[in-house]
Amino acid sequence: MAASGEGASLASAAGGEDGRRRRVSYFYEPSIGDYYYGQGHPMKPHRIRMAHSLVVHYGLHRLLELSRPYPASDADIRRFHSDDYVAFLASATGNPALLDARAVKRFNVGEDCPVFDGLFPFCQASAGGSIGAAVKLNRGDADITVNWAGGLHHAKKGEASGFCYVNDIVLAILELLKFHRRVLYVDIDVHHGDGVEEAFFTTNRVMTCSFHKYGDFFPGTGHITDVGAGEGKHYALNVPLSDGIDDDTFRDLFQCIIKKVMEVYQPDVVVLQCGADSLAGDRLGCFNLSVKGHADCLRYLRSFNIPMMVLGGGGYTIRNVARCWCYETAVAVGVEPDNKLPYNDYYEYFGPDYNLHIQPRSVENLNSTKDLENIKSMILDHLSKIEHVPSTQFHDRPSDPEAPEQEEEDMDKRPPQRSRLWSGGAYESDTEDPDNMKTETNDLSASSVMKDESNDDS
Amino acid sequence: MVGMYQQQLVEDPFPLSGGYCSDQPRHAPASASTSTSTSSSAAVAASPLAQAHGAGEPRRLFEAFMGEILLPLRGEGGANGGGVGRGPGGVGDLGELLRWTREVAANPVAARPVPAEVKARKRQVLALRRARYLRMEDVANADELPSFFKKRKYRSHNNHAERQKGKGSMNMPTRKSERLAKRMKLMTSVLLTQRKKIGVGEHFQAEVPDWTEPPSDELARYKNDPNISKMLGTRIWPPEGQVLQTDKKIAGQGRMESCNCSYPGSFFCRQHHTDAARDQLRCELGRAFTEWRFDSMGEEVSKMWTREEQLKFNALERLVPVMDHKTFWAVASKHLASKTRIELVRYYLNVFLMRRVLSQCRLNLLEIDSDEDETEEEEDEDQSESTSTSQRTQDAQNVKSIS
Repeated sequence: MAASGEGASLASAAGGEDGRRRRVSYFYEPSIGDYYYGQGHPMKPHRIRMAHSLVVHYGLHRLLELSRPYPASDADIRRFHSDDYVAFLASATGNPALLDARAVKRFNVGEDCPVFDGLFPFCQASAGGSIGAAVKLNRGDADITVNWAGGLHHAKKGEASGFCYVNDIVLAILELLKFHRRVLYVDIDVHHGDGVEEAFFTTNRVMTCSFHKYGDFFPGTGHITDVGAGEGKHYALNVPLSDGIDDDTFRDLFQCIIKKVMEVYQPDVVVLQCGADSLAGDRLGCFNLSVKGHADCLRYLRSFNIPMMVLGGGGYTIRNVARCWCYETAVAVGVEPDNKLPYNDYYEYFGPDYNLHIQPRSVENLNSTKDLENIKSMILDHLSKIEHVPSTQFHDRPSDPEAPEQEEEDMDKRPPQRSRLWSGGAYESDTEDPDNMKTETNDLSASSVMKDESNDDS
Repeated sequence: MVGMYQQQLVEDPFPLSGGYCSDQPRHAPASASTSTSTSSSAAVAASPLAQAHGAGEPRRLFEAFMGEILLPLRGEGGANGGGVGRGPGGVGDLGELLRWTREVAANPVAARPVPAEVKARKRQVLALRRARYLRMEDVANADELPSFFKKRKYRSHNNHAERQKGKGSMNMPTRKSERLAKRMKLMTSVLLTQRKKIGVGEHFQAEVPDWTEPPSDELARYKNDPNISKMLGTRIWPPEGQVLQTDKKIAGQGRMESCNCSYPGSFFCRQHHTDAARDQLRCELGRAFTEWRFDSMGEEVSKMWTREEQLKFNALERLVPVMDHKTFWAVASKHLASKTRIELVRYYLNVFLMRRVLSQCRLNLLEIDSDEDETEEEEDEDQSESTSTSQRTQDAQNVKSIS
């Protein structure tokens, strides 16, 4: 197994070479496990408590700074979300009789996103942890910050979605943007990171990169040709995958793409959403990653020595979520924990083996080599359209068909005001864009990248 | 030691958590339900100890509920087959499709007789599933896909709220496949969507300012701003006055290979070590132990519950497959009036679910699921097998604990 993978060595202020310890700051709200979405609902914040128990019983706390987050305020949340949505969340109670039916429909709360007791404090804790994590990085007090209660990437500006109500990731990134010029967001949840992509769809200061199952699967966005719009064009990357992807395949694809992203975009800080529903055997997911394979993403990004924020997300087989996030906490610090789990408060959840690591299932990997080659080449092609960051230490440049000099100047001085403010509606096709690449649409028609064609039905 | 669990293993011939290990003969109940629940609730009543603790009440409760809820619905059992006819393509095609699907289900790994049609069949099954669980307007909406330039992004999951209100199409199903399907309904919007568009405009994007290099004193100002610093939260570890030293600490140690317990690897061995680990942690963490609420994690929570309360909870939980999910907690609150909602939920997550995994392990189930709220069904089908296996395990435990 091509274990940790060496990243390109970029000069950095964060310090610490790969393998050595990092300063890690971890946020945990002790009441988080008691929040309950409702009987039968797959999202269980209890998993975060289970992960915390494992982290502490492994003794990882001895190498971490652990803090209780400060709850985000209405004002904090309104930095992204709309006023009336936030007002609704703050006042919504678990009593169905008191909810305004129109509001329920308008803000998409109901079955998937139920209004449960303590909904708003739950959101405040989740967002507070992520914002706190961002402040830590801004101050330079930590190399890596962790908030397993965060990563709720589906929440939209004006509505809930996919079990997410407040998009803590967007709030954290907005905080990071105060001191970091470019933020890279990587999402390895099995579901497309639509909320974050949408929030930053039209800016080049945040590059969003999502690896997800695509095709007859929630949320339905994340097609490979969705690349952003306006100034954000080419700053959204979507890697659509089919069922059953395994550790080796995923690692190969992930490292190939991220390496290129790092070279071309050179972010100042990385935010990694570690949704654990991409693990094998997840109740809602369909990938086949082991905990090790999942954590290799974190390990690889860490090797670039850039300040990093690590967040939670999906994950519906809770004992595996706990395993995964415990292990990833260890990887963040730079420790390889024993496979035999220590005795802990939730020990019986991990029977019959009581091991940290899980075995992938024997399911078919529906991602063929050809599909993956196509995906890789399309993604690399998208990346080649980004103007290289100026004043970089890199001397290798990709063959760039654009006029690089002009764009370099634009990046050097203060960029002009955003010229186009889309008033609404779906973004128009590429044909409107003066930078339009005819080749883009041609690539599309070439070979069918997607294994599962049924997403075009009905 | 965990009072409740130890007691029941020593005194009762069956554990009360999952209720699957029962040496009592099955009684033919008045209202037929899952035989597991009935036999174990009968067993609960039969045990003199349980009766002494007033466990008769759960049984009465149980039978009353079963009578009310289940009987009127038993007539709907054939809904699954009946629904098929309403799908697209006519009855003939669907009959064949259904036959094909059954064959696949019966033997998933066998080579199919007509390999070429597998892909087409797969598509048909997916389409059928969509048709079966969506109303017409859903399908219609999906057909007129949002025009590329005009319409706002399509919202497929708003239909959920409407579906719930007009609950005509789906009855309260009784078969496992139907219950799964009903729960899948909850997740339909999660499982099933058409291609959607990302929204563009002021209602969708965050406001991202243009980059300006912050002035040299900006960071100092940022660090000193109390409104910002408060977002750092409260540091819990290392404790006040201690500095984080990472160079020499040992971390990542798992459990020891062997131990000095009389019966290593047994339930009591594990419990003993878990308690020891908790004690060690209490020593090391000091105040942080309470701040992180390690005293209300796992089996510690069961110490706040009497035996009778736990029995009652188990009995009520067994009703979940036939009860609407939403009403379970209301019912539980009513019958366990001394417990707040948080206490009920805390018990469920920390004690009940964990014990369920434990009994699944004992039954050597291939698929252990800590999260399935309706795992009971799988046990139903294997009742006779599992009884004898678990009974042997039980006897072994009893012998160990008594000797």
